[in-house]
Amino acid sequence: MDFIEEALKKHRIYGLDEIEVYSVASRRISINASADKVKEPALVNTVVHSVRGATGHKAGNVAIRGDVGKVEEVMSRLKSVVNASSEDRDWPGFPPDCGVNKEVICYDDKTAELMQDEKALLELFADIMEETRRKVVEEGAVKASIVSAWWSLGTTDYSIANSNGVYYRSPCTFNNLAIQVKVSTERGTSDWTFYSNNRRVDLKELYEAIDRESAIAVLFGGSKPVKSGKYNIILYNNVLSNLLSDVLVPALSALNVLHRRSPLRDKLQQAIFSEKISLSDDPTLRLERGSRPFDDEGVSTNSKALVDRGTLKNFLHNYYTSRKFNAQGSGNGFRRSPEVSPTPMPTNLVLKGDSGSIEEFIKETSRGLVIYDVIGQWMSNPVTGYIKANITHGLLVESGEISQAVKGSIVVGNIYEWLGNSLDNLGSDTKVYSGVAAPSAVIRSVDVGGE
Amino acid sequence: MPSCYDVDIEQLTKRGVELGADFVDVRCQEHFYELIEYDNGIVRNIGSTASTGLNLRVLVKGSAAYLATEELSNDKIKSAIEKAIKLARSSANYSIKWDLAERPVTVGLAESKYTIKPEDIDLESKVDLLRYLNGILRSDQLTSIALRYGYERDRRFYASSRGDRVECSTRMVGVGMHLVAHVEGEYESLSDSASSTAGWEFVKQVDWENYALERRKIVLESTTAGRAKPGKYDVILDNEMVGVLLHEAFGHASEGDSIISHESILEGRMGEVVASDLVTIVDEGVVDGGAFVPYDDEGTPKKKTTIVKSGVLTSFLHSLDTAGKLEAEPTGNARAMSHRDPILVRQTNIYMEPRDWELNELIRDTKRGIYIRAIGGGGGEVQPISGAFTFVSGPGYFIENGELSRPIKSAILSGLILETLRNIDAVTRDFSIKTSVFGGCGKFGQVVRTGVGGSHVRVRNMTLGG
Repeated sequence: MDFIEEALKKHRIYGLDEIEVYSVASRRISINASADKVKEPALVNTVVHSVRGATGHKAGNVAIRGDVGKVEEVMSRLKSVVNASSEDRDWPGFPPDCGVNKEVICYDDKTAELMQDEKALLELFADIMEETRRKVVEEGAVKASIVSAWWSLGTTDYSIANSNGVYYRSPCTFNNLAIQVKVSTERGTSDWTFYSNNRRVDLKELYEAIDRESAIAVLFGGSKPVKSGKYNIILYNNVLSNLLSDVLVPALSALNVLHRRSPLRDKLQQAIFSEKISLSDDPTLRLERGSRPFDDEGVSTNSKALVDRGTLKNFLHNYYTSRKFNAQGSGNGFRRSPEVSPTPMPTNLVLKGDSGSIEEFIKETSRGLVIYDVIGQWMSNPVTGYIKANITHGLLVESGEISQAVKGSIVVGNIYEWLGNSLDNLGSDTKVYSGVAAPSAVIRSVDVGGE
Repeated sequence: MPSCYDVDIEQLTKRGVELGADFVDVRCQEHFYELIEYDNGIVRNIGSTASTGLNLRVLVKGSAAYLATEELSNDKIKSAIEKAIKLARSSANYSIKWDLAERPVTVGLAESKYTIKPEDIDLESKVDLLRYLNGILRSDQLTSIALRYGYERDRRFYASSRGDRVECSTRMVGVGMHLVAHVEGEYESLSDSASSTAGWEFVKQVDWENYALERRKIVLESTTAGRAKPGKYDVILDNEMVGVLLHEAFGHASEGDSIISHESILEGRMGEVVASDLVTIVDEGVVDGGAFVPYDDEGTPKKKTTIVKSGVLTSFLHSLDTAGKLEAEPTGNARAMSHRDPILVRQTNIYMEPRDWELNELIRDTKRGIYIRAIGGGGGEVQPISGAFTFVSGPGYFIENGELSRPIKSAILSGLILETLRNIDAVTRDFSIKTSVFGGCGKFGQVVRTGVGGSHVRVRNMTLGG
């Protein structure tokens, strides 16, 4: 009898009314590189079991990584945790069996096969680095080198079972690649990092990305701060993806709405953004980071509109908030770490694009900034929607042309203004970045601090 | 659960050498993390995670490979070391050659100080602490009060084929809060925590009522505070903010692996003036208020490393490999988040050494500026290659005519590594260091516990926006 079955069978012996076992077994190969060479490969096998139990309206959680040891010890610990918890009159119990989303594809045979041949993988990684260097030089760099790179791919086996009859298992693959290239041009030295973060290794797609990103990598030599003032800004798709994740996603969590730390509470069915903004949660994107047939509570994931033409339509729900709010369509209960109960998070977040490219936006800009990358945006405040970020890779645009590369300047504002009255345009260049699909965006009159 | 004591790590290193490895080291970790989250009067999470696992690193003709496993039976471990050696051989054609610095063999045992094991305190008492805090904080103007208690016990064993044997145990405990205020139609939030490398005695020593009420006052005041218009300001940074500045603006760029990868703007600048002559920056493994790192994860004793002395760059931070490649002494900065992760060069506790100003004197001496405080701040980030760094403060105060005046909201500060530390023109004599059981420093996806601190400093002409 395996751990899950034994735990399900024995929970009542320990005085627990209900139980849920969530297990994740992961096998990955990771390769780090430094100064154009592989630094070291690593094989990592892990397994974590997270067991939630409840008695009446009290619940608790115990997680074990690696060998579980005796089920009795785990159940005994869980019982003491549940006893110490407090009564929550809204505790809904664990979810019933409602099936899984069969349209989701999260496992890629080719990726799983690739990780079996370590030597071939190392050779491929070396080629990816070499091709990136070659392409960046072809784009005009005097010299290019890979300062750091990492690639991690593998399989993750998700299992979820509870005492209400839920018992599902889903093997998924994953792929995380990042390459940081140092670029010397006649204007000076700079760098550029690009990422592939999803559930597939698609070589054609990967080499196309190298072509695209190499053209961007050569733009930032001789960068310096700009003068403080108001600028029209063009946010590159990656930057907008990060802002959506860091500032908007927490505000869409029904748990944060419940506990009055979301600016969107009481805003359902109201206009919160420009009519250009339509945002959805979509687990069916093929082999993307958030593609999962069920969430961490065993509830089927499902596609849903969150914002439709600027109007707030839905929040993200775990099972607890879906029952509390009597809301349709949960399936967004995910754990940020094993010892923590699932909270509402998106599967894949999709912001619908419109028309236009960065090049066209630049031509239409009399004075503005193109922001290709920032640091520190994760310290923005989702409670107020206030954005704070430091531009590391930007371009100053004057009279429709790029006049200077920019770094070391801050940009501040509010996401509800940026994607509301200040939003001028959304591009057609939607890119999925770590489970968030977003196009580039043009935003009017933004505060920038520099010289 | 299995224990690292059940694993014969000496035998493992021998086995690796017999199979052809030039060097083998083994890290075994037993980790326990307890977390209670008390969310607006409800225990939202109560639970713990326990783990035991092993990491093997082998070097074969200069090529390295890691293997991490949580299956600790003898058969599984034997097979693991064979796989690791095969992997190292596979990478020979593509890999950079490792060059581990020589140092005396380390045999050591260390344990952080504590008097009351948090494991011996029942969970009900921990929940009661959060319930008590919730009661103190409750106010019509606070719309959300989220509290948490965290405890970490981290025991690490290290052995290498060179004969090193080290065992190090750390306990950290802390309480955190995330408050949301609603005043005059405006919302604001504040996150903060108090942690210590200690046991439950820390919880008993802190005056939680004062701690909670001060944070409530700060968030309520900042709700209606103004924002600083983006631009250049003279700023006074408090003790913790200075530590964050040093950690981001200098610490990361001094890490040996970023020097070797040509990623740091400090490469080739050893012996150069890189800061004001008032600036001395130290990285130290064991210091009051900080994280506990007496040995790194390669068994090297963590030295007190002076990175910058009176404005001159004097040392980088090193692992065995970066010390070997850069012909330097290992400094004890090789760290990994867990047994699952590879070694990186990381900071431990970084701080600014004090000078002779008094804080009051410094404020009086500042005609127009901003007093930047860390409470409610958000940490920082850096790009060592471009030299751009940033950090977010908590709520602070404008300084007008030598006095603290109007409160201002949390702000973002930005600078360039080779410019900002040259603009420091005053350092105070007060000194403190802070760490956290809820977070730390992130690098390549690994978070390790660190400490930051120092004295108050004044930085002229810094980019800031609210």
